[in-house]
Amino acid sequence: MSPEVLPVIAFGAVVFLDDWPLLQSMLSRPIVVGPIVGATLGEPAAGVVWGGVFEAVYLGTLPVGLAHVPQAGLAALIGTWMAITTASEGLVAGGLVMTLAVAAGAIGARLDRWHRRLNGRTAARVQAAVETGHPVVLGRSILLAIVRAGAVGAVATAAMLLCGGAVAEVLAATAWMGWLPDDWVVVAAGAALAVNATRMFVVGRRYSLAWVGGIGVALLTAGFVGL
Amino acid sequence: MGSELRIAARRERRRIAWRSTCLQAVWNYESLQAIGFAWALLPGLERLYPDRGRRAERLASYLAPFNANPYLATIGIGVALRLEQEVARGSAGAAQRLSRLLKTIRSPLGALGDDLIWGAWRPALGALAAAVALATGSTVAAAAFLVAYNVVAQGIRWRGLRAGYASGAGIARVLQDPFWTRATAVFRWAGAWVAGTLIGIGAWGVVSGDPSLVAVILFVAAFLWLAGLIQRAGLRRLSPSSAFLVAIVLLSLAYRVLAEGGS
Repeated sequence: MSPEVLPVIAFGAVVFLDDWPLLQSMLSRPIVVGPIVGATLGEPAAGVVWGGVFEAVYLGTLPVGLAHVPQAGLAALIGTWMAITTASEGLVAGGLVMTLAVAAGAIGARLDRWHRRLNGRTAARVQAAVETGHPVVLGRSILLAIVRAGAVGAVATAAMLLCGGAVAEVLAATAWMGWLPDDWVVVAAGAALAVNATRMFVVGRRYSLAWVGGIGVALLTAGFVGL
Repeated sequence: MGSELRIAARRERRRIAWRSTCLQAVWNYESLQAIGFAWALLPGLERLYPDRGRRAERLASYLAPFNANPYLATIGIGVALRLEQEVARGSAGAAQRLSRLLKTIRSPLGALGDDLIWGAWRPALGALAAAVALATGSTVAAAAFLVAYNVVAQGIRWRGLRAGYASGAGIARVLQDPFWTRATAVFRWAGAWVAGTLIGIGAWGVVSGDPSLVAVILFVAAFLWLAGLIQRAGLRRLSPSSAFLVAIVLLSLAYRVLAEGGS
């Protein structure tokens, strides 16, 4: 693995932590993860675009209540890394990137569930300790959980980058598999974004006036500017 | 003891607000956010209960399951801090009232926050930022998203603690304030506007008549139709992202076959 992968693995720990255990500042959202990974690889603009692609894909995944959703940040991290590194080797990467990214997001969701079950054992020990008059265990358990989450994120990122690279090499040698050009994936993402956003904010709700207004202003502006 | 908490409230509030960022650190399926909730509350309990035994007893009462939207949970922490003062003064039945109140408000704290933040603010801002990112490739989209999101979300987290502490048992007034529904509506209007703008730009692309763009639009239409079909075709457990992936892989294969067939 190249040396640039080390800061990305460290960032993977941050992404896993920010997703739900700590702060939730949305550093783990694809729109932020993409540019950071891109900047690490010296391609910030490509990172921005791929961040936008994954934000479009995962726009509608909402962590409401106890719902389990794919790890969008991990998916974007793996996907953006694969998109930039494989494209630099001349491989047409669009569909391959999406495959690996969505797989990473699904694996991340499973890791989430496992991590939460592990937290359950920690919580049981904390409860027993507090009831016997040892509240200091509370702070230690928080620290342990944070360190553990960071470690899980780092290891998961490293493993997925390693596996993703190996899969990309194997598939590149497979002559019959064709993959979409990157820019087609970007356009598809833009369309998915429009449809996802429409489904979320307009269908079955009373905001259709704003939606129609947006269409109208966009058409007028595009016509005026001459796009 | 109550007056001590009021005097030092600002320092305690800061410590508690910072600790609330770790609210979900030990989230688990049994007690949910309880461990983080109790840890965030601990500075207040330390000030109210110098006796370790009594403090541990009160702390243990907060290990019962609690779950709310992570940004609005500080309202619950503030309420608990305020009513814990009555418990510390020895008011009859205060502990039971506090426990009942926390059980009552956790659902609205979850529902209000989920509607406002997960269902409106984050997707509206995310859609706008993604559209700008896809169109321009500028890093400003990501930076603006991060700043704008946190101004609202973290602002709610910090102010919620103060609002919960100030309201105490009267927290229902805060939760029924029209601010929540109005803010949610504003963010959803903005999201609908962004969605419409994206549709408009795409429609303009078709109307402008660029032949290669028409081909791309046709491809996109096919892809969206296929993704919708996959989701509706009995594979209801398939998430939208997985449907997107399956659609794009199938279309990739079709593209390759057609390209090979044409060459």
